[in-house]
Amino acid sequence: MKCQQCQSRSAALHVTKTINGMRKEIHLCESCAMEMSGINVKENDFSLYKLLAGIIKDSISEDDFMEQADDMVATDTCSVCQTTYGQFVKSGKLGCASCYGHFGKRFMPSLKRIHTATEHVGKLPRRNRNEVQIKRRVTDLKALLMRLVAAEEYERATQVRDEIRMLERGGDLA
Amino acid sequence: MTYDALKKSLWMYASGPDDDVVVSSRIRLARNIAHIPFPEAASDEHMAQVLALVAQAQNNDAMQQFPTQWLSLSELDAVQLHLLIEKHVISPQLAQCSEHSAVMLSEDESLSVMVNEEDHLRMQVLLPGLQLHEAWRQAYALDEALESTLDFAFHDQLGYLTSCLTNVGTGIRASVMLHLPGLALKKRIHDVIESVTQIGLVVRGLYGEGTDAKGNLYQVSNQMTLGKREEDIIDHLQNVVRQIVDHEKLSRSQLIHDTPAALADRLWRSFGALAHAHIMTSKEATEKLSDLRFGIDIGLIDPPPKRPMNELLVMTQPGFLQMQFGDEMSPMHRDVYRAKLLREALADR
Repeated sequence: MKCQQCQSRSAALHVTKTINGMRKEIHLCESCAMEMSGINVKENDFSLYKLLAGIIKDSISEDDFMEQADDMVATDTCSVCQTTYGQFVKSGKLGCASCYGHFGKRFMPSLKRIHTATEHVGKLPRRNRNEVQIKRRVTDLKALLMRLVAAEEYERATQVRDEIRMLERGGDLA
Repeated sequence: MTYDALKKSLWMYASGPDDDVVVSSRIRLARNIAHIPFPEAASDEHMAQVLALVAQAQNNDAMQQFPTQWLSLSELDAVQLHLLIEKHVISPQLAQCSEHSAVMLSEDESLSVMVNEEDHLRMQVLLPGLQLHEAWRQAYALDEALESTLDFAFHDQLGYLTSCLTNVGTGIRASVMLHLPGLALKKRIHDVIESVTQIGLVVRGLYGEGTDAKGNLYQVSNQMTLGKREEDIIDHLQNVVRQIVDHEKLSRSQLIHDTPAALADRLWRSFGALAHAHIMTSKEATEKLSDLRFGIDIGLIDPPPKRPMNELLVMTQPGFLQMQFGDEMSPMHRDVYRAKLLREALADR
């Protein structure tokens, strides 16, 4: 379904509300929704409510709307363990590892608030220790490469580039 | 399965560095087995599967360095469960879901692995005094040993996945139990708690989350588990604990210097009550034992009772009294037995 505002991107947010027997449907893509409400979805996990509230507050009361938005988000369900977002919010507990993929976008801001970070840098499991260490090393090297290029230190940059290539082709850590 | 629940855990009788202020140090690691729902959403079959996999891992080659006993919680009675909680060997949460849970326990009980608590595995190393780094060394090795046959849920970016977002990443909770009577008497404890809370640490009571600080005992632990290395989390806690220890010792010397008679009167009165009372409630015992511990640690009450203070603290808890004196006890009976136990312990100096 296309976004009813820009008519080009596909709609990501769908709201249906019945007011005095009249059915009203709203379908928007994420960027139009953000533009119309003036709220950045990525900044706040609960902004979805506010976001939608901003868009349709003319037609329905905010309380009514919040209830509906709550219902919509609350029934979002992890396909692996069947835990709903509502259950997670209530108990504070996720049902399985897949919940991280399914609800990740919603709770990422909360996660950042709790830990002031979103990247694990500690102990790694034995089975993929090498693999993750290589990934971490490549990320670090790429950042270093950018700095070296910016500083016009091309000789060292070439060495770093070669190391990245070696690691990405399956080479091992020195 | 035979288990003597009255057995003392290492932290209850052994001494450790700085143990005049730091009662114990603990490292806990939360882990879940890959491809099985967390306990929150697990079926009975899933829980049984977790129990079977962990029981298998208990006997793998790498685990031979950690000989442990397997206790199925469903085979323990309510009093035994209570005792394990009072010894800090298991959490109250684990005891609540006793039908599908178990604990692996080392001979000296310094090492335990809870199975099917909030996460599939909660490994714990509990040592007397300030020994966070040693506890981490052991917890690391235990994690490695279990991992040699268990596949833990792990995400490249987020690290070890846990049921609660507050544990994700390292899954580590490093904590110390502190006895802070000096700061409490000088009425500086709230300042300390406030400043500690502002630097990413959490302060709780004796039995963890949601419990009051009884007997001037406080648990301080890390809050954040993601974005820092385990060693850095532990160093941070250790540094803060060192500062709290210094403040506590300063408060103690100020009390000894400024109000020696008032202090001696208070501590010896508590000794008197513990040594002679015939009815002692749990609350009163905890308070008076804090005074007694304080008196012993500053060399005022000398010689000290032969039984270590940590042992007395645990032995006067309801579960222990029930177990030692038998039968279903009314609270009044418990208070009488508690007083009896304390009189005997204090006569033995």
